[in-house]
Amino acid sequence: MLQPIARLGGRGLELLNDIGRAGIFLLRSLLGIFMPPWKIRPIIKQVYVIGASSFGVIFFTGAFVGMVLGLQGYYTLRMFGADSVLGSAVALSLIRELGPVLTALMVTGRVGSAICAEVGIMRISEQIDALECMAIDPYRFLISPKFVAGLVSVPLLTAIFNIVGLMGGFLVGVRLLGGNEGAYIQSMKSSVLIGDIRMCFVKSVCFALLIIWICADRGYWVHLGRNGFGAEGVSRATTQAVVISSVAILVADYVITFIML
Amino acid sequence: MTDEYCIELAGVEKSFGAQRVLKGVDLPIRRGLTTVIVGESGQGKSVLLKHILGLVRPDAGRVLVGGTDVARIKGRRLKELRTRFGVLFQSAALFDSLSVFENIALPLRERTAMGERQIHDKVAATLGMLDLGGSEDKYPAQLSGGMKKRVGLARALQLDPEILLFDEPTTGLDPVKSREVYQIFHDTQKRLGYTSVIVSHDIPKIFNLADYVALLHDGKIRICATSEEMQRSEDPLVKAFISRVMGNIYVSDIESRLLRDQDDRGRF
Ligand SMILES: Nc1ncnc2c1ncn2[C@@H]1O[C@H](COP(=O)(O)OP(=O)(O)OP(=O)(O)O)[C@@H](O)[C@H]1O
Ligand SMILES: [Mg+2]
Repeated sequence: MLQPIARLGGRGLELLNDIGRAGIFLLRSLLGIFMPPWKIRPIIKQVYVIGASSFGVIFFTGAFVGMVLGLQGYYTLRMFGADSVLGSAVALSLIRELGPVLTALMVTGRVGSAICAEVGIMRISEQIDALECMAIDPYRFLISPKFVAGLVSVPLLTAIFNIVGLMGGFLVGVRLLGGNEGAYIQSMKSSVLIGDIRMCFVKSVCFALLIIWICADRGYWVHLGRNGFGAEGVSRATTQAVVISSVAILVADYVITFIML
Repeated sequence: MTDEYCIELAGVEKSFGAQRVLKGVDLPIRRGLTTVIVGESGQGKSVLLKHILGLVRPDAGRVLVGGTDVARIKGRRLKELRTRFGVLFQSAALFDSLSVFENIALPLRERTAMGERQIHDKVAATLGMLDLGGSEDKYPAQLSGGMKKRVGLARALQLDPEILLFDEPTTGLDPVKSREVYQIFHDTQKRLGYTSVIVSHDIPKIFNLADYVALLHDGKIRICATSEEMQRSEDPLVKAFISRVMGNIYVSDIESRLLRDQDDRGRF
């Protein structure tokens, strides 16, 4: 009769353990950024992996999200005779919400899963043990460059997403459906404040931190066998990492919006 | 602890779940000499090496390296201790996103202030010594098992370590290559004076290299003696082990005689 309770308690302890370990993981990786020797090459490589290779995906999602916003916004606003504020509607939804959130979700799927699998494979093939035996700090060597690259790339990708989205909205709302060009630009200019940009930036930085943290952490501890062992363990950890970090992004989005609005 | 011993394991016990792997291992390892650990597959030889490295912590007992208990330190002190080791894993554990050259250069790049030119020369010299010339731009996935082992060896030798820990350095190498590897061990040890601990199944060839041979059986060191003493031992278990693994003695006898005719310089 007590068994289910014991199991629940065990799960709870396991979860606490995981969270504590993840906390130490984050701390050591962030400290690793400031530990010598500093090398620029691994960071550039990671910026390429995380940032440059996501450019295409971000460009297309940004364009289509902007276009669909233009389309929906145009017809909805016209019902109320408010199609002159289309520019402001598109810009605010993109900059405050959709830009940072969708960019982060795309990066999670595109890069987070790859990071988790890469680190996990290095773990199960003893490469991380080998690093430790060579007295090379695996956090500093492996994980810290990913954090730096994530913190640089994700805000930039978010900015690209926003710009492309605004142009997409303009293309559909003005050029295709024949809205007023001057009104679109004017309403956009007058409604977007510096606070909105700041919120967008804060969000993208926090999301970058979450993505790299969660995905790298799941891979790093894959040998503990929470998800099974070997290749199967890595594949499950990867799925788990993507799910957890997607949910975490949405939760964090709510919290940040609540605090900053 | 006297200065004579570089590493000393005392009463080391380790279980994985219900499985007791090490049941009180006592093993002194002498400075500047080669100690070979033999034993059947699955007896815990690799686990033993990982204890020396501090990758696995014992349930009981002490693992002293130069007077420091590896099991009781962590963080910076453990890292410092590890700077004295050169390690070859059983699985070689090469970094599979780095080329052969970058793998071997990694310890030099990360742990020394050497310039690219010097690193290049040093790595090239090691590659030549291990007959790996021409594969520096390949990736580990493109190497044969024996080549991986040799790249792992090259990487372990880069920082001129005080203590070398090798888990099956010659498994997967052909007889000629493994003899060359033994020759390299012999020469570099004479030159650099390091202490080496080698896990090997390559009996009897490894006996020529070993100053001491330790047999791990049933979670304990059954005997730790010179190769001759080991071969003459009256312990029935040791005798049984020797006769079992020396089953191919005739083959290797003929082989070594043939090779001695060809080339007199080799000890192996
Ligand atoms: N991380 C681990 N978790 C659980 N059991 C382990 C672990 N590592 C090793 N073992 C067990 O310990 C025992 C000894 O393993 P070890 O790898 O040391 O054998 P070995 O003597 O090196 O064998 P071989 O000569 O085949 O390499 C095995 O039975 C193995 O199942
Ligand atoms: Mg082994």
